[in-house]
Amino acid sequence: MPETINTISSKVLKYFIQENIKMGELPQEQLKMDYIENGLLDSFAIVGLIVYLEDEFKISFTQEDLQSKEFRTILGLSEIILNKIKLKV
Amino acid sequence: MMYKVPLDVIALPEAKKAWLLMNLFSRTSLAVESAVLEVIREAEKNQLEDMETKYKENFFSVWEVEWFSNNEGLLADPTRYKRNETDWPQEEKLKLIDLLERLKKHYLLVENENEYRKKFSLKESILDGKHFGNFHQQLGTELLLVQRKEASKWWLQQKFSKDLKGINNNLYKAVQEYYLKDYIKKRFCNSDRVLDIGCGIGYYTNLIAETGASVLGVDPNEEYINLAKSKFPGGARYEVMNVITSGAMDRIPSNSVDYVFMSDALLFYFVPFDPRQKADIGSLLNNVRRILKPNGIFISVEPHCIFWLLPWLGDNNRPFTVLTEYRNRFFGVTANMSQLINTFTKAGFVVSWMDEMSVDPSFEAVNSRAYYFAQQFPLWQIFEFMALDIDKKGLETASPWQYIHF
Repeated sequence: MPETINTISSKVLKYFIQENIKMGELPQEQLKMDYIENGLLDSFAIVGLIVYLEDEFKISFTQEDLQSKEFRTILGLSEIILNKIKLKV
Repeated sequence: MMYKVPLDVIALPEAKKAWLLMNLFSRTSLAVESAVLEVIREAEKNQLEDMETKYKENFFSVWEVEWFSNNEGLLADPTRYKRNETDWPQEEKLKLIDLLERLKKHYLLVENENEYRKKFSLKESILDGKHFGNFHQQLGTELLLVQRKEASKWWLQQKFSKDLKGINNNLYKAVQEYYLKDYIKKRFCNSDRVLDIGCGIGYYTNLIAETGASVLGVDPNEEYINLAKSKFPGGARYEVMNVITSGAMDRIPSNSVDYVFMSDALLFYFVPFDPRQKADIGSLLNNVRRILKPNGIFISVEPHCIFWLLPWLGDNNRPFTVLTEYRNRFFGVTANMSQLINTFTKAGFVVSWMDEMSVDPSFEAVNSRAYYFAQQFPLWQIFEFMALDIDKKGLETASPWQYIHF
């Protein structure tokens, strides 16, 4: 089954749950919260997230992806991933 | 639209086939053919449309020579461009508009100087591409995001040989080890008791123990302590101890050691690796004073507060460098001389001796540029701070000179 923004974002969220990172109560909050600005992930957790996502979706992020505004929320991140998957197909 | 060449940019004649344009503040560079020098001046005075008409048939040669040279190690050439022309990538021939974009990418040309100035600030996180960040942040970004390397493993690899029993043949060996081997032999004897704080894998701890001194090495990194125990058994004792945590050193008795040794670790107290986790140097020094016997000595070996990480410019054997910051640092990660010394004198120490480390003459044959730079501009400093035999109350009013007898 092809990935959608929902399937991707739930996989991204899985990493945050695994790492015990509290993202807020409501799904909308979770998806749109800037996890960098809110200091939820330290450098090592960020690298862990990148490695997990590249492995999970068989993609690789560029420097521009990593430093974009979109990368800082689960929703934006999921959109980046979805675009990469589409490009591969 | 008009552009501006930041006054932070210099042009160097170091390469044979091109000019090297370098922004000394952002530490970025691009090699260009000489016609480009003319173009960037014109770009400051003329409208882009006029220039496009003038140069519509032209192509300009550039070479992408910039790279993160500290990839190779903390003591590698910090100049961040490929010196050896045989390592240069293919020449690129760019149309005017692409040339201007490329110059902007390397901060050799800017559209908005205010925006450019704002970039000189700490990064808010490893994903922050808006700010240049300091050296450690840049290194962290490079290692974790670009190279995808584990920082603690990389640190070991850049300093030590594969079996971890020797030091790589770079400036660590030619300056730090060359100097300290001699210093340690002369400084310590078998009746001395020494505490090595931040001992890492125990390399210098072991050298101190070889003099017969009784040594305890402590480090917060358990992996390093295990390596120290297995690589250098029978000499010093090693313990995992996170000295930043309050109370961690309580287990070490008061008035118990003659020397406290600390190398390449104190800088993190002045400029923390993670700006959110500031370590308390006052608390460290109080502990050190408690542990040291009266008139005991804190030996501090640190990267030189001025010359470490400065660009290595000029001729191999007649080097020069350019200093872009000292008091207010956006890139550097060491304390100023006054910050360092005043921190110690306020905590009840006096400077009893200092030196700037020399380089092993035989290193000239290994890397002549590194050798001549390190010979002229010392890369490490060593201080001996003596703990004054007075109580804390006396410190409020005391001037250190009262306690020195000439």
